[in-house]
Amino acid sequence: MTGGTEGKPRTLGETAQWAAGLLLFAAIPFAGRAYYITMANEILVMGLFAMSFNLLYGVTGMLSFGQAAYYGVGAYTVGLLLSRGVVPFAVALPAAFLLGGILAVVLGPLCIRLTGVYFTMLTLAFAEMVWGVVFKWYDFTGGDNGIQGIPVPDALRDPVRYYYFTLAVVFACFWILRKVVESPFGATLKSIRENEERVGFIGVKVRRYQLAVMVLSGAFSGLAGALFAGYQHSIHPDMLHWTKSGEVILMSILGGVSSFFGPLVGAAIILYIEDMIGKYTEFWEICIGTIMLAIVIFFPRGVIGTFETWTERLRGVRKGSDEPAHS
Amino acid sequence: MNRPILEVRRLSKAFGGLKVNHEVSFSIREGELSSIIGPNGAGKTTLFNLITGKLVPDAGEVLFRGERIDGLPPAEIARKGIGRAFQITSIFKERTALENVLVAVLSRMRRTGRMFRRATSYPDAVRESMEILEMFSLADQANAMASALPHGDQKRLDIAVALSLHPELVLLDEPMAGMSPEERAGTVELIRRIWKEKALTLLFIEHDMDVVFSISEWIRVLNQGVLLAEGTPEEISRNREVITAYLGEEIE
Repeated sequence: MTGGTEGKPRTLGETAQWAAGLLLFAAIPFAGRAYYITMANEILVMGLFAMSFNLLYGVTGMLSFGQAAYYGVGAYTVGLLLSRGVVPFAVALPAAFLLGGILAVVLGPLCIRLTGVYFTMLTLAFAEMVWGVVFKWYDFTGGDNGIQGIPVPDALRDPVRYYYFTLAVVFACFWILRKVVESPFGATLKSIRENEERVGFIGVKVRRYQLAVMVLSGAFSGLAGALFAGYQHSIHPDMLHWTKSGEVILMSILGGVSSFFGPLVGAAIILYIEDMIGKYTEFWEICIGTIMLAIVIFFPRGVIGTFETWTERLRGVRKGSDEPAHS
Repeated sequence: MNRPILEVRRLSKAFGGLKVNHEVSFSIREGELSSIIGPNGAGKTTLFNLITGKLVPDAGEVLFRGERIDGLPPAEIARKGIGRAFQITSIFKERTALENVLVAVLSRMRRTGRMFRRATSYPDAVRESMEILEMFSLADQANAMASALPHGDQKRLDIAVALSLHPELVLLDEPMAGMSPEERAGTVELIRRIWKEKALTLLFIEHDMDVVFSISEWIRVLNQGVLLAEGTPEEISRNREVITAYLGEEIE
């Protein structure tokens, strides 16, 4: 029988995952505490940010240590446009998406000249430059004061409403990202991750695809930053700091870079731990460090990745009998 | 006699002071099944790298169907119709066998930039990929990870990926390296069959002299970066220079 995977429909399990995730987030406001909504909102925003990062790392194999630049530029786009009343929110949000992408059009070609750890260093260096500009340019960005009192439209002023707005935008983005990852473009990106050189020999201009994925990732990171700015009403240069870039790397690895929702799960775990332990000690970073260490040693493929391996193995045992004998 | 599909003119490449290829000239006739032999370090793989764009020659020209291609990037040369399989298997390890071939087929169809339909929802591309896997007896393993395939299957998958681009000229770098004798025999048959069916021009590097002398129509001998001799298997096996430089006592 040939063409076994031809037009394979989305599996029931996958649809169930999406529905469960959406329902879970939709139910949060009914838990009745404003704190939960803030938490869930941050998980969604950082989840989107981490998943845009993972489009580069987990999917294409490009470890960027500078995604905070795009996240921050998105936030500042919304912050500056709204606090000066230049355009309405409905324009500022897409503008943040666009500017995130445009920044990648500028920085991307400079970064992809090199590969591996040198690429990573370039992304870090350029992100630090962007951070430096935002931090120092008082007249325009407000420097280390950041921007406070960012107005959002009345319809979204209520935190619960804004939360549902975020939920809708973030899940729409997840859906688009999923489409991209499974498309021929996504298949090409994964091939680049596996063997960049060979992709060239099958007639694909690798650099062009690396730039395209940087632009996509930058745009979605920018949108994540914009959503955060709208919720928090205030932004700060820390959003562009290299530690922010590091955070999404940690989240993605913790959750599992090879699974689609891994970065979102990683974001939820890290934000939750940060919050839980943060209540008791200011040294919560030590706990995060310890947990990361344990994850890397015991769950090398991340929480979701390892879980998937287990379920695959279980399934493998069940259908082991119809596998062909070793030749 | 057919017109040449590939012409190599005084091609030279040096690494530091070492002349890995020195003024190598030859041409390949369309439809020919030929091989390159020579001791380790003779410059065979470097020659492939120069032809396929992985390396840029220091001097000389490479013409494909009369058009200069030396110095072009690999992606462009591949698009012009030169396919290549690798000595050290070069596949997409953590992708299934089908996905390995599918991405190459989609590339040929110029669809790798598409973003809104699943890669597996292009029935013509999937069908063709399955046919290619079938041809290489890999259809049963279509959904197996490439890394999980036995070595011989990985080698054949490498060739399958190269053929997915419908190349006119295919360069195979030791396609049978590391295979068991049975696998070798099967692969030789496979290569010969595909060469005939697809009307390909095939150039391969191989160390197994039984294989080289049994299937090559034409043999080129490279030694220390220089083309020592070329000719039919009979001519090569009788060539004094070749015997002393390379074949030694093996061939009478």
